[in-house]
Amino acid sequence: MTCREAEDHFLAHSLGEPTPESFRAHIGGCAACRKTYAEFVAAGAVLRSLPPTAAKSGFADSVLAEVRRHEARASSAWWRLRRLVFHPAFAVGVAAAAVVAVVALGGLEREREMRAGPARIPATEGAAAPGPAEAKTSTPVSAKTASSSAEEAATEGTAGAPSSPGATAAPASAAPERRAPAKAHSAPAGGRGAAPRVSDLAEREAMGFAAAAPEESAESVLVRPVAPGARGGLAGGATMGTGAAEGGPAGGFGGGGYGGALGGRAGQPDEALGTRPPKGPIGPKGDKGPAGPAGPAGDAGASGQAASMGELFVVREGIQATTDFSFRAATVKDAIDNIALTGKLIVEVRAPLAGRPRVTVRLKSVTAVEALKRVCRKVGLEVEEAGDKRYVVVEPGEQP
Amino acid sequence: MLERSTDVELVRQCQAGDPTAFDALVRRHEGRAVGMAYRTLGDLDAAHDAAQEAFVAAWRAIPRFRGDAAFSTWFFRILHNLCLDHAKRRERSRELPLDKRGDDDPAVPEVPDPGRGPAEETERAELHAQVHAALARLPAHFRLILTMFDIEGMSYEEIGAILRVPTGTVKSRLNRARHALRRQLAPAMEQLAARGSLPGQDAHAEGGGAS
Repeated sequence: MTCREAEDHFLAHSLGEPTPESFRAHIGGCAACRKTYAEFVAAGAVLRSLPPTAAKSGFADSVLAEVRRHEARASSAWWRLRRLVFHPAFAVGVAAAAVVAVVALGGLEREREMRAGPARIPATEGAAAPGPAEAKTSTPVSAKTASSSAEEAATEGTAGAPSSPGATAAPASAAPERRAPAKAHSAPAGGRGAAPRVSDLAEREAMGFAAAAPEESAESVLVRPVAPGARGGLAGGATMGTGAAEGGPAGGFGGGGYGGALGGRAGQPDEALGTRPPKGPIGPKGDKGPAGPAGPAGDAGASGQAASMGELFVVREGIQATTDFSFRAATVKDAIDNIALTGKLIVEVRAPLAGRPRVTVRLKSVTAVEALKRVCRKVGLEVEEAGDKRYVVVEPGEQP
Repeated sequence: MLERSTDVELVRQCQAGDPTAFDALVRRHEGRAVGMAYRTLGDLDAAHDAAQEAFVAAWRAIPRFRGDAAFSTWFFRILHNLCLDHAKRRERSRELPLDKRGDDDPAVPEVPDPGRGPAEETERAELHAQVHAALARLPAHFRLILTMFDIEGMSYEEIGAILRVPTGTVKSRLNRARHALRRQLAPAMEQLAARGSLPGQDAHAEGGGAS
């Protein structure tokens, strides 16, 4: 046995556990190993001689206060949301805001065509002319129709059209960020039957999860961020762009960071980004106020501060096989937890996740299981199915 | 009443939404939690923050706790992962308070031992400062496993359950971590050995010994 091999048995030997005969023979005849062994034992002794550490007085009280604060916030958020969603004014507000969006969209489209140059005008005039006219005649259009129009417009990248007073002043760079709010808005108008569970609400809020409405499904999970401090509560109108007016400098959608996660990445499905997401498509940090419904991108990805993401609210309950995941998580672990919660999966993480990059993910039209696998694959982990909605995240090559 | 309840009973009450049961769990495990975080992060405030974060995370997740493992195992796994995250973050931001600490470390004041003279007390404080500095130079996962075993007195099995690794792996990791600490402490050990005040100098401190 070499000295290096002998070192492998020092701990067992120091604890009186059985060691190979070859080790005992080696250490008995090797002065260098005996010295190393003495230092090894001494290192353990000095560790055990360190003074004990006690929690500060009042630590447990502060933990409980934090727990209660968390519970109260979640519960009050739910009641604010409930009051709002079930209030008749909410539906009226939705319809009004949607109509404004359609009218404004038509106007902007018309203006854009006018600016396109004289050569284009004759070609588009016939088609463009009915735009505003249609918008005017469609004033009593249902909220559902109007909001879906706004949604389509946003999907097509024309959401630069002002959908509200708050959004009128929004810079062009914020345009793609309106996509998610426009979609988010359509869900509560479509049905109010299912009520979110407070426990899910709290968990999702805490974990910084938001899933945009699915493209086609009527049942959906819809989590909506609201500016910190919940100025004006959820303020349904905020999703249509009144956030700048009601929400103050934070914009209407998340007080920084979250709007970018929801809408800013809309054109780049299925992505997991590193700690610092690119600024371009997300929007400028600190560009508050005029950002309207989408809000500034902020730097939640860089700081990892959940607080900067704003509060999140479940608008409708129910999971579909096909869902549009869109969230920003502080860590890969958070991302996995979010997906597990959303898909009601039981996910056991056995691989070390420390030091993994924070993620901003937008996964288009996938199941929760696919989302889990994709996120894990992005960071070099594998997902093993264990049956009965159970999954195990492991390092490649490791047995689950 | 709650103080005499087992962790299993308290967990059940927590799952029924009773925060006072969680209060009892916090009080039961706070010392070990803060101690583990402190030895890993080297900063008492950061340790309290990490421990609080772990408890709040546990409260949030407790409805999904199935009781396959003991609450303490489950909780310390949360804390372990959080400590690793915090440690990585601190290392990235070049915060190495342990390394900078000296004899005047105010975080955990040395309690004078009436059985020791002033010279011995000074020597002991100096040794502890050196151990702090040596620990700070180790990778975070070594600090954690040494803390769990040597300071918090957890068994191989407990540590294995927390890390989700077999007992044999725990032993080999502990052995490697202790060697790493030994190498960091080597200069200090030389001095102490020369003065004849090396702890465990008779090499029988842990029940074994070079034969």
